[in-house]
Amino acid sequence: MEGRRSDPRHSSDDELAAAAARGDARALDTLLRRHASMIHAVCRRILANADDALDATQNAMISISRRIELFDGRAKFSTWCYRVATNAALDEARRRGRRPAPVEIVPEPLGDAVPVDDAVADRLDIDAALAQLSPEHRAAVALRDLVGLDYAEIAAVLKIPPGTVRSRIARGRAALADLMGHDPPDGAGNQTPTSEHPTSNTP
Amino acid sequence: MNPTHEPLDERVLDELLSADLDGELAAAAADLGLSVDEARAAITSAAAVARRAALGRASAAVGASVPPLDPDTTARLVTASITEARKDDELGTARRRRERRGDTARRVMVVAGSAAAAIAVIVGLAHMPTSSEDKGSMSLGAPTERAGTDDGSTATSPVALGDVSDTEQLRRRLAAQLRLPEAPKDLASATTVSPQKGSSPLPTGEFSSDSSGRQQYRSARACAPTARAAAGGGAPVLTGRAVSDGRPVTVYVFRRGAAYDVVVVSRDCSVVSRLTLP
Repeated sequence: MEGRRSDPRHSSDDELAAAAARGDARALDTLLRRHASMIHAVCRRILANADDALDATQNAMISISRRIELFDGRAKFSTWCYRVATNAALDEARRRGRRPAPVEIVPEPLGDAVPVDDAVADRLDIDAALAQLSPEHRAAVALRDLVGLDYAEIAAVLKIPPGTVRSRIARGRAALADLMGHDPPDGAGNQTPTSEHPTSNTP
Repeated sequence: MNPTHEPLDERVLDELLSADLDGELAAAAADLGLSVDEARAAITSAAAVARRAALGRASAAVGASVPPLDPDTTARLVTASITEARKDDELGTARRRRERRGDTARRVMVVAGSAAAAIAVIVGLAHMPTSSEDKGSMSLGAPTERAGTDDGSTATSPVALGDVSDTEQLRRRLAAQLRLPEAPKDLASATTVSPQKGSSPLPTGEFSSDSSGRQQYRSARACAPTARAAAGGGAPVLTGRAVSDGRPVTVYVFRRGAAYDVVVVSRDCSVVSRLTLP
């Protein structure tokens, strides 16, 4: 029991955050390890670029480490983390001053060709499609579909109204649907990737 | 409201479908000016069903987990983050320490400067020639020699010499003030001048620090030219207030080589007596 209590891996996020805020490096280490993959995933989805995502992940972790004492427990620690990660990723996107370079879309494997690993193909596919969206639309879609935040939480993270969140998510998904080749039947929507707001900075 | 059931704009339809995927259809319908029934009717058309599936696949693709970071990369990122934050913290601490040191130095400088200024003011006040008439000193222990001013008066208040009706008494008191050795009587010469007629009688006795002292100080300044003329010029090295035969007088002492000329002047500036010391 004693060992379990002293092992930070068994502590809750809030307990670890409080300890980290008091200068407990082990608690901070455990917290960062616990959320590293999800922080990276958020950055990866927003930046749609593996290298940029690692840079943003590093910056997000540094930011969490520096500001851990500012976490007041009003939101879940994970939500706070995702907010920091989102900001780090959007900062990284602005710093690059460019939309992430589109990844070459891997063609659908032909029946008699050597099959490409489906997961890799899907990743390349989604990265390429996401790269066509603006970082703001990618952030809204990622926070909803990857992290699972509700519209109100996303609105708080991105500091935009919930209606704008809904609009960005819808347009982001619609653009992705078209980009990923899942075109709707005739008459049910035939948007092109660059003809709609998702690729601009407007909601 | 959309009572005519016209086909919805495809962006509106996408927004309704997307919101429905997230369980937000009612809020979306309200924001878009539709009833929930209208919204539900719109998203159940055949075309909408296919579009809904496409949006759902896009959502699932985004939600598909990004491959987790490998342990080495995670460890590297975590370690670097903590190290960086700690370095910043140490830099911040060092900076705050430097700032505190700077603040302390500044405070010491300010305190030292203030103290120096206060000391300078005190010393300056102590050595400043008295210009105010109300600062007359009644002390008998005043300096023996005082620098003269252009108007022939002494720079500081006249010293109180008491009753000097007796010339010998005046001589002793002046000798004490001037730190002169007691002079034999026969070495000193004294000339008594009769008081002018019409001068008003004044009470006898020692002076005290009251308005009469200030009045006499003014008299000393006013009568200095008379005394200087009687002594043959120069600035008095000592001025004293005294009473002679019941009248207030002012005593002026002028240096003449190793000797001193003493001129006693009444309040109306008439010369009462003169003598030479030692």
